[in-house]
Amino acid sequence: MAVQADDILLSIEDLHTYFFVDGNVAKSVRGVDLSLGRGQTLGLVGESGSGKSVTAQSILRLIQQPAGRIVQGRIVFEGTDLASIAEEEMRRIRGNSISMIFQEPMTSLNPVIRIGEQIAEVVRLHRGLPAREALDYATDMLAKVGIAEPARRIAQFPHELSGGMRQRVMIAIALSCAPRMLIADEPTTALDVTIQAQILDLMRSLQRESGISILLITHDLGVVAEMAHRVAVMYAGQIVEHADVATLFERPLHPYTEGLLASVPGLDRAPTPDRMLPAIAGTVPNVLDLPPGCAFQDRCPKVHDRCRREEPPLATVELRHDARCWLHVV
Amino acid sequence: MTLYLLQRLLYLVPLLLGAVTIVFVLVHMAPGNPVDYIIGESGADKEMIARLTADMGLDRPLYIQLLRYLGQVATGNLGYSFVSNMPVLELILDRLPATLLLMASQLVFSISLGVGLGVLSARRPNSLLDNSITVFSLASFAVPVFWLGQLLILGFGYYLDWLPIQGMVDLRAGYTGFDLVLDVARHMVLPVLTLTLYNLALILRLTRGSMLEVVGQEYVKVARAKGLSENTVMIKHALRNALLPVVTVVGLEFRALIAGAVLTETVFAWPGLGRLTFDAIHARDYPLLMGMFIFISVLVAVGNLVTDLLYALLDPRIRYR
Ligand SMILES: Nc1ncnc2c1ncn2[C@@H]1O[C@H](COP(=O)(O)OP(=O)(O)OP(=O)(O)O)[C@@H](O)[C@H]1O
Ligand SMILES: [Mg+2]
Repeated sequence: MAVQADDILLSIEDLHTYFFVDGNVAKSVRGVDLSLGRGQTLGLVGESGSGKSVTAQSILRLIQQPAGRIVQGRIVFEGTDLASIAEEEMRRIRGNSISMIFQEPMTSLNPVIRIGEQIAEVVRLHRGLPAREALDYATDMLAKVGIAEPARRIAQFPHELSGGMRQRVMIAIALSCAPRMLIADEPTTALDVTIQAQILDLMRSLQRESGISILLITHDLGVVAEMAHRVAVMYAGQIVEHADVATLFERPLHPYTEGLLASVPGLDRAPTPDRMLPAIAGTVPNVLDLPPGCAFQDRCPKVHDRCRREEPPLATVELRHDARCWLHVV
Repeated sequence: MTLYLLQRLLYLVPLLLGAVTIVFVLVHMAPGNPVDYIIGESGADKEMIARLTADMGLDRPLYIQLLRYLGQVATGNLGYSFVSNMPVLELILDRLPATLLLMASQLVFSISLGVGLGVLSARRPNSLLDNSITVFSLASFAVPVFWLGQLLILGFGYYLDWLPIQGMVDLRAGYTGFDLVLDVARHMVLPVLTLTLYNLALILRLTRGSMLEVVGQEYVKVARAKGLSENTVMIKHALRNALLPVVTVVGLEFRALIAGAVLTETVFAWPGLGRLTFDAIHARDYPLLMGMFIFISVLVAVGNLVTDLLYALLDPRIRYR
């Protein structure tokens, strides 16, 4: 399933997103390159704090203001650089061409607004449907994401729904304007195992139907193996490896990826909590104060002189397989 | 819901009974008594004092006085003022509209301004605008009501001579119709401004804090991710949630609102309940004082009830049974 250049829906080039807090600069994302093909799922994995959410929120320019800022880079979506368009234009893309769902279904719905309205407001906004039709549309969307008795549910409030149902509602909201791209930031982490599997199934079948592209952020390599076509591994604000899913699991190049995979028992088994990203010895370096050279140097079993002096570039090692490591720069 | 309302109203009865008893005892134990006030400086013989005391029933033991009073109140009779001999209820109802006018207008202003400035403040925390609003609100909160009132009287009334400073209407001018309305409005400016400045601060600070907390919530991020405009995000998605704690605290502060009104009415000689209370205390007019107390207690209780209902209206998670 090779992706041709013209099949690329979104490409991120040299993205830098920093947070300016109390005179310090947290370089949460520093030079990320990514691309997502049409109809494909890209898994984005990495330890907590590696910058996955900041990358995702940069795409929709939802970085917390005024501390956070995209300082450099291009985010090209269907030929438009999202990093440089006007805010008003950006608002027409949010929820319309690109949607996002978040980790916590318990807190991502507004507790004082009815379910139906939370879906309907998006289609009124982007599709210009009148109130009555927007609500009917919301009912249809609820049915589509597998919620029973949708006509009754639209009049309910979030606290009357279970966590799994709320995440379905979130998916209904996200997909209501038939976007070309969905960003899912750990959509199943807060759900229990059976519900997790149901939500992933739903996302897969919706993707088959609509050909939507998905950027799937997760801690769970099992989810990646199941859902993604390609994977990007993130470490301390950079992509350290980027490959097709099968390639990455068979021939990881970066020592960090190797470490991740080594400590994952049986990817073919049902997801369990211990299959979450394992702790590799040591901790992620502070993005406020990075050492010169490779960010992984202090935890790397294969570290050598050059790693401490110079930062390795993200290099294409074999076809469609990039890694950021001096071991693989030829 | 109706059942809940009835329940709440029923609870009021023992609550009021207890409160009335305590206040009755406190009022009668306070130094000074109405006989001295009525007789005044002129002096009177012992016989006259004894007769007046007996007339008012003040020679009986306190618990007999209390029982008699409670029995009387139970039939809806609040008694007669010692000083003016008018029925207490009539005196109170006579003054009520003036106070309600003042309270309602100041509530409208302080809530709309407080919430509005609070939202504005929270939109860009620690910006110049936010900091200016903070300084202004803290200053107006720290200043005592009566002092602020007098300051305004001095500034706008005395030196600038723009606005009337005393009372509710200019009796000498004898306005009627629309002119009367205008005249009352002019008289209202300073007392309403005083009360608004004072109450605004609390509402503003609460709204700001509550908004800042709410805009950090995930559903606000979701609202932005939907492509909604910043105004829709702030008002439709954030403010409704942020108002919940504001409503609660304002409801709890209802008593302070009334106390502030009493002080302000005194400063501006506003012919309302506050002024009436002040006079009643001064004259040790026990029946009027007790009547006022009962009336204000009911007002506070109703205020709290309205708060609860408003809360239920704003927050679907709350259901009263
Ligand atoms: N609003 C903010 N202000 C300051 N720093 C921030 C802010 N948001 C994120 N960061 C910093 O950016 C870095 C990356 O955070 P991010 O949320 O992207 O991590 P993540 O990979 O999504 O982690 P997780 O798996 O825990 O969700 C962290 O070090 C974090 O401290
Ligand atoms: Mg995250």
